[in-house]
Amino acid sequence: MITSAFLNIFFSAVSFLISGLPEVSSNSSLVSAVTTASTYISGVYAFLPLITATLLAIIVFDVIFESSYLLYKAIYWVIRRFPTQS
Amino acid sequence: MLFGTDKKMIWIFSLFQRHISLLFLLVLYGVITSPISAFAYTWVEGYTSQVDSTHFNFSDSTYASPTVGNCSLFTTTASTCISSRLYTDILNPYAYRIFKGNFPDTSSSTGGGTTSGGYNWSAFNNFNFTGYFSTAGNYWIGFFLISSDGVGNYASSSPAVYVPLSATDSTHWSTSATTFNPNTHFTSFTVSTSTATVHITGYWNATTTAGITEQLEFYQYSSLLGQESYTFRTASTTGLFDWTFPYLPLPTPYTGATTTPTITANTTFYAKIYQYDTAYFNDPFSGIVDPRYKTLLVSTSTTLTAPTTNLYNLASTTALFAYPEYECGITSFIGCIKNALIWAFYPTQDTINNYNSFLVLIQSKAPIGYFSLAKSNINNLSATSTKAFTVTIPKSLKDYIFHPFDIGLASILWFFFLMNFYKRLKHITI
Repeated sequence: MITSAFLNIFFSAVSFLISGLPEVSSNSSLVSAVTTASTYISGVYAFLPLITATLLAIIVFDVIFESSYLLYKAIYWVIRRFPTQS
Repeated sequence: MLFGTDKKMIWIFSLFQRHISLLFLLVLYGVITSPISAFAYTWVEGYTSQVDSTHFNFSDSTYASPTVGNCSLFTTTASTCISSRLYTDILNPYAYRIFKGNFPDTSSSTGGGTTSGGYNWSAFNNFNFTGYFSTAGNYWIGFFLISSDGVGNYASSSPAVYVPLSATDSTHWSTSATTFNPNTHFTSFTVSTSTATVHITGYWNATTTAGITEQLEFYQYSSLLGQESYTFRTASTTGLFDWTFPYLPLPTPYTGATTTPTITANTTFYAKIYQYDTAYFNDPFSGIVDPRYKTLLVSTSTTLTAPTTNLYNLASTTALFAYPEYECGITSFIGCIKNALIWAFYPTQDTINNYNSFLVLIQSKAPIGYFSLAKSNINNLSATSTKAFTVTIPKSLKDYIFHPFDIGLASILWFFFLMNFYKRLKHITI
């Protein structure tokens, strides 16, 4: 009851705040670039599968990790801008 | 009425029933010079088979082939030739609309669906197509069908019916040059609770390309029973299909009042048509799924709402377990306290659903949406998609040089990645 009420209020408040933000949409050029890159990676994968998979995994992991860290830093910077009572 | 070898100009329509062929005539005429007022009529006669509710193709399955010929008639016999047969047997002379559309377009403005424009034909036998179809090509010819009971009562079809015809020039037609082959689709999907069956109709294609087949799959799903009544049918011929499948009915309510209602649930019926292509396959060893092996073409579903009189409608199997309950009584007071704490702090299913919706909302809005978008696109990088190029390497070279080199270099790459990631973690500040 208490948890549900608190969570519902929190979700409603944040949804109201971010509902005014713009929607993001997929860029067709990005999708096309990923598809083309995949075709070339597949060509190399045929005769060097382990190296290709390793490089792909490392690059994807690094990009996701660094972008997550950047996003965390950005959100925390925004939160620190709010005035607090001290 | 004319008989024998004389060509008859007949225009006959019958109201459509599924699988009943239409006997169908188009009458064209070209004027030929003659010292007497004789009119040479070029006509098209043939049977048609129904493709969907408003489109037919000329066919010669069990009937004579469509034929094109000439009929030299005088004005008096013209009316006798046509109207007597129609008047007596099936239709009275009646003015109705003919529509011309561009084949194979099926849009409402230019194709086999338009009901605007068109040409009027009176008495069935005096319409000259020549001036309206001067350019060779494929056309839709649409008609309102008229039936008569012979005593002055008429009934017209709605919507119009369309047949493709190919004009070779302004006065000659071919009924076999083109046919209408719509995409695979469902026409109807109905549930009969009295017979516990589902009736599915539609149109599917059986291609001649080796390895490619279309398959209809049917099943029911309820939160009480899960998936049941799964069955499938494979397309063997292109055309209409009509299937009836039994389903498993859910419990029915007691006729009398009861304090212990039976649990039931809504049932959703699904019908899906997939295209299978055996040129691709799902690898059972690596678990890699090739999406080109099985492609969903069309799907439809309908839900049968369970009655609630003397029944408890189970919306979700998790609904029963959403709130764990303990025995609460004088001898088990701890259970009462536990139940109270669960009631106070355990989130409801609605709250969990709101959380999922909240996540979806966040992922669609900037700035987190950009991150989600980039992440999903990067995850789509695949090493097993269509190759941009192919390199052929001898097996011995591949086994003794490329393979060991591959393993060795991959190991080195992982080692360097781990070392560098450790160094990176040491410099992260939170």
